[in-house]
Amino acid sequence: MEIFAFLDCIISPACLISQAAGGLKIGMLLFLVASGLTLVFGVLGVINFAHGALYMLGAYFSWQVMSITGHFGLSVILGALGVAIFGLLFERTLISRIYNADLLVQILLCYSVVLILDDLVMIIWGDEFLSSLGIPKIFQIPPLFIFDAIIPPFHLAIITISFIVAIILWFIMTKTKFGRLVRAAAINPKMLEALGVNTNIIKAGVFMLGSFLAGLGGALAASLGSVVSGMGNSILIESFIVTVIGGMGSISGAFLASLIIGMARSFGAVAMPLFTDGLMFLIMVLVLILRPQGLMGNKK
Amino acid sequence: MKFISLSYLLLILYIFLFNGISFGNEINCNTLDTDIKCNYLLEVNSKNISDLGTYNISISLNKIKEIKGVFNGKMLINAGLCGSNLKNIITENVQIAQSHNSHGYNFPVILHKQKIEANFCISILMNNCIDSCSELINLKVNISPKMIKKQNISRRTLLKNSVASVSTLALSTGFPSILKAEENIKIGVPTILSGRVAQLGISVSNALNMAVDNFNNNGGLDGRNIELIIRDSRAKPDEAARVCRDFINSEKVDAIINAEASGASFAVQEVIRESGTLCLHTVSETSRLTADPEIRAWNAFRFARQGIHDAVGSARYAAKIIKEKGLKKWMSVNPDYAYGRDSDDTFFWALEKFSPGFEILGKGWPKIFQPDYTEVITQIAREKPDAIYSSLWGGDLVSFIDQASLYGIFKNTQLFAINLADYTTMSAVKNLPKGLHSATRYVAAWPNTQDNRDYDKSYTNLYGDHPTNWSWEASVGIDYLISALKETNGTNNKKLAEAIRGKTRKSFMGVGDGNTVSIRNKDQTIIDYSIGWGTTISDDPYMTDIQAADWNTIEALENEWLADKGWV
Repeated sequence: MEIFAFLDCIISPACLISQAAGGLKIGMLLFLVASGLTLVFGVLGVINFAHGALYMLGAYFSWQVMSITGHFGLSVILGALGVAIFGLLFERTLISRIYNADLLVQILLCYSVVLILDDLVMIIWGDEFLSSLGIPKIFQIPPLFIFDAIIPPFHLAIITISFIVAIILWFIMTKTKFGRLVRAAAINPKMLEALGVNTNIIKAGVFMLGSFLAGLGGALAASLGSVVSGMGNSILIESFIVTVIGGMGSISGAFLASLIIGMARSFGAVAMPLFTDGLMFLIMVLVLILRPQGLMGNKK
Repeated sequence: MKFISLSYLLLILYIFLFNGISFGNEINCNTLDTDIKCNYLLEVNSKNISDLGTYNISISLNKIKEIKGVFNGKMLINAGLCGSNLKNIITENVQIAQSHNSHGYNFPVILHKQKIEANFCISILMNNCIDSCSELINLKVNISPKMIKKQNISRRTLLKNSVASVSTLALSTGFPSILKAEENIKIGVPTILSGRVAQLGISVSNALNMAVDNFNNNGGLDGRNIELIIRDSRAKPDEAARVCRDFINSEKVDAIINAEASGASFAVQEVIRESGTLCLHTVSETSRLTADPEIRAWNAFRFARQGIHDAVGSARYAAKIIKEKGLKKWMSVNPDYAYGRDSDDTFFWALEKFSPGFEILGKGWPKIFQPDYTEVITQIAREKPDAIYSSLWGGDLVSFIDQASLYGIFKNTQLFAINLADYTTMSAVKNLPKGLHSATRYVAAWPNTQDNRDYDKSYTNLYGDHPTNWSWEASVGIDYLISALKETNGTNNKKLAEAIRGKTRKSFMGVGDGNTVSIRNKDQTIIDYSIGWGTTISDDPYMTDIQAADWNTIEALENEWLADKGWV
């Protein structure tokens, strides 16, 4: 453990700002994906193992739009919307049939979809990894220097977009009729049906929203890294860690947990460069022991 | 009996329908004292070139005398050009159960010849019966004219024909079939065909198919074709070991070309050590696989780059740049698994030899296939090293360079990325920064020879894409194997190993005397392959100022390294 390096970093403004900004960017990008996962679990009770594959589809869809239009913003939005539409079809044709099924059946179905999609993208887009979307021209400028800490402007854009999405999500869930219905559906769907609400539409809408968030995460990630079949697997594991730490079904918990994981990875790279992955799992284990329902989850 | 008749009917119907020929050419067999011998002559003339191809020999053993217990005997089929010594192509112990009156066998024989006018002789000898073969059984033999024309042979068609014929006969007798597609030399290839590294398996398969098709189209090994059986391990060591065991136990392969990454290659090594199957490693670069005497196996050869070789080549080049630019402060970013750690260790070990006195500021260990490198890059941005060494590869390296460019890392820091100069990687980097240093994994520009450019052209014409580093390694491996098959004229694993060990061959990647590579005797690993380092430019050919590594230096330092490790 590099304890002195860590202490040096904490007391150095350049290191502190640099690592904190990096952690914020990692955390916010993770939040986009993890919030969709936790939303689907909280309302539908489905552990969507295919969520990482939806993230991958977001990357591929946006890459395709980018290669046709050359417009970054359009490719990110259309990529995410494409995944939302795919999510709707996925929910209506497959997921809706397993809402009350055994957990094992849910996992098997989702895992099958992961394998199918992983192969399908290779058939459509080829077996080689694709280059990233690149960043918009407006951000192709020298990085900012704040107290000698280097911060790329595009990272600030990603953090801002993710914050805006988090606020919109919070607004939808707490201030709109749809949000109230979603929360009601999560607590007592039978009662909601008895009151004449079509819960199928709510479920489809929630899954679509979850897919949109995964697709948006994938599209933004594609702007910074190569696009390849199976790219959703590692983000899926991190999203599950976030969901467990934050509390299954809690969006605010997912926000908090994403930031914790982002910071743990960023500062962990200074303090424990050989144990950054282990650190994430260690935090998860500690949360499971000390607060099994997660940081913001409710005890059942 | 009805069942047997039906099966034979199916066989005849199958051959008729799928091969478009009539069943005929019954051969008369003669009694030679106690043995039975049948001879068949096939004349091929220039007007009828299509006579060259696969022939189906259908043999029926019929009991003419009741015997107690199972009838046992030995059947030998020899074939070749008439007048020369016929070569034994099939030797098989045959049986007829007490409850059966007859038993049938089916063999495909492929006839190839460069000169199209020739007489082929096929002889079938039945001997070693319990008493006297001729007193116990008679032999009925049919040789069907050209099941498949030579020019139409594909591995799939051949396999389909063989399997279908075998199945029918096996049904008719209840005995296990003796047809094991003996005309084919089977090579099992465990590799990665799915997921993020699918390009590895695909470029290896392309390279192998290119060589094997060429070999088969030129007559194979006296008519015996090579049949590649390529299977996906999904990059999992346990799956690679299982696939390998299946190749050995079920497919009865003659050799294995292991195109797995390092982790799985160690698993494959243990399987082949146990079975004694000849194995050619064509992907794993982890030195330990062949350098550590405890892991080395007599039947395993490495045709892939080796970490220590690349490390010495890299360090020597880096030392030159250090001298020119005064690079003192170093960092490294390597994937967190066996290969990455091996590469990091050996590079800095070798750099210490060439240019001592540098300082290592930190090391980043992103996990393999990590999508986000921010935490490593912020560390680099903070430490401001003069140089970075990295053995990241493929999409991971692309993501790292793209993300690090946002921080302006490469303006003041020299990147030594050993795995950058592969076409797929370089073309995927957005705005490939000028002046990054890389080893030449595979580029048509290095080695700067016509042979190498021709190889690139042949591959590109066939597959529409440039070869990768994995392609050349597989190509050199299969070239050695084919040469050994020809030299030993068979598939005996010990003879093949003997024919490969210590051999020097001309190669498009060779930089030894006369553009050769060699398989070193002591550790059965390839040397004298091209190692060059240069700097990147943004367009094709992507590399400039390439400098060749010196193999004398590499081997001298390698010996020192082996001594340090206690592996001498």
